[in-house]
Amino acid sequence: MHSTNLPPYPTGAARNFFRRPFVFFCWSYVLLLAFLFSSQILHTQTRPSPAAAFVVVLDPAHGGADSGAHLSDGATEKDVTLALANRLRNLLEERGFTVIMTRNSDADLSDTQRAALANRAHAQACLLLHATSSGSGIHLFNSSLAPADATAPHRSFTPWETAQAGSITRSIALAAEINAAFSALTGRNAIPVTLGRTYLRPMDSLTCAAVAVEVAPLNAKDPHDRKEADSPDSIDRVARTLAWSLQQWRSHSTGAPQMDDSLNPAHADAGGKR
Amino acid sequence: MQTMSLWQRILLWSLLAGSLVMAASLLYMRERAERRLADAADAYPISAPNDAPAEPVTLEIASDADGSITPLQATMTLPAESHARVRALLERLMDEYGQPQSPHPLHGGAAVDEVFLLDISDERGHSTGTQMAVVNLHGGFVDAHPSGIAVESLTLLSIAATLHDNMPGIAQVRFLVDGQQRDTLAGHADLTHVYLTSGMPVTPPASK
Repeated sequence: MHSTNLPPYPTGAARNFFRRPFVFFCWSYVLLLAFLFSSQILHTQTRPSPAAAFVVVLDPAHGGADSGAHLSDGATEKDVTLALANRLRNLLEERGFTVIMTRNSDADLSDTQRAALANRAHAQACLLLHATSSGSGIHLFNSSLAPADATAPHRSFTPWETAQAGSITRSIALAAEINAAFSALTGRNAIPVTLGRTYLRPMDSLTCAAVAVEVAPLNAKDPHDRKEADSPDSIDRVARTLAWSLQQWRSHSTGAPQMDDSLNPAHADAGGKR
Repeated sequence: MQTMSLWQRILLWSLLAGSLVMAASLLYMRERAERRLADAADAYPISAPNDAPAEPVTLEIASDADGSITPLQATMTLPAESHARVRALLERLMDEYGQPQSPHPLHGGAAVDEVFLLDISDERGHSTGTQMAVVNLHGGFVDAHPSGIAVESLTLLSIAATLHDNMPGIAQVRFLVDGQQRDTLAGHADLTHVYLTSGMPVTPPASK
């Protein structure tokens, strides 16, 4: 009795190849090295470094048919927020952050889609970027939701509309970090900051530390030096200061020392302009 | 070519003169009708009875420059009926924002269509002694409202704080637009929430 399903025994050239012990040994050695090398590469790629694990979600508000506010110089809020988000993303990624944007183009996302994307990212910070022609400087907003009762019995599900209630304390701490960074700007670089709380979608549905950052005209009181939120100088100054505050936030959150000092607002006055 | 007779020329000029007189009289009557309608429109908003005494009120005035809300003491005559009082109070607040030098400039005509006061009951159905003010805003006012988180939030908080100052029993404020619930005021501040006045400091109106 014999089986006809077995593969045929190597014959001819193949049989001669495997009969050469030295060649067989060499090929085995090469395969072993290749295996070890590839596993090392995979290990390096999958191992989360401390910096890469720090996730920041940027939400440029509005988009698509929803233009948002119309600024005094004709620009639309949706374009300003996207430009600011792109600049901020570049600064953060250069410093090892993992940045997730809710939109990279003129896309019209619902508030639910934005919140779902941010919540899935398990981010350590979420910034909702807005722009306006009213007021002056930077407006920072936390949710008006009351903090969740820590002593209440644990619930398996968090209400979507009020998910931010569980993160209010961290959100206020993040707003304080951003406020400190902007307050460090002095002289002609100074930017006034207003802190407030409001009901705002999708912020109320976010589970991360979330702050809405609204950019108003800088130097609004000086008609000769008034800069709308979409001016390149405004976008650059605001993005750099936000990036610095997030560096500080990461440093305080992870305990890692702050190595990159190039964005420090305290150095802003050294050259008159950053 | 046949020339017109004398009578034909007289008839022609008479018709032309009559047309001019009719046009002038129509223009005069149109202007008079417009004046009458404008006078009627001016008289349309609520006017407090002249014999009612002036009362001190507190208006919580928002400022876009620094995001603050500061009390402003004023005196005005108010209707006796509570709904009308609240509406007159808010109209006065919006008049302040309609001024050219307002720190929180708003335009768009009349803001408040109607205000309803509802008693708040607890879970057992007993009255809590507090009220919810449902403020129905005009769609035209909302459509013309400046867009931005700060400017929209200031408008809503200013309204809620002014109501709470002058009628401390109002614990909650809800906003409708043309009788319907709307998601946001002008793209930002959420109108689906009930705004609580309990955390707001009460600034009592100055004594008479």
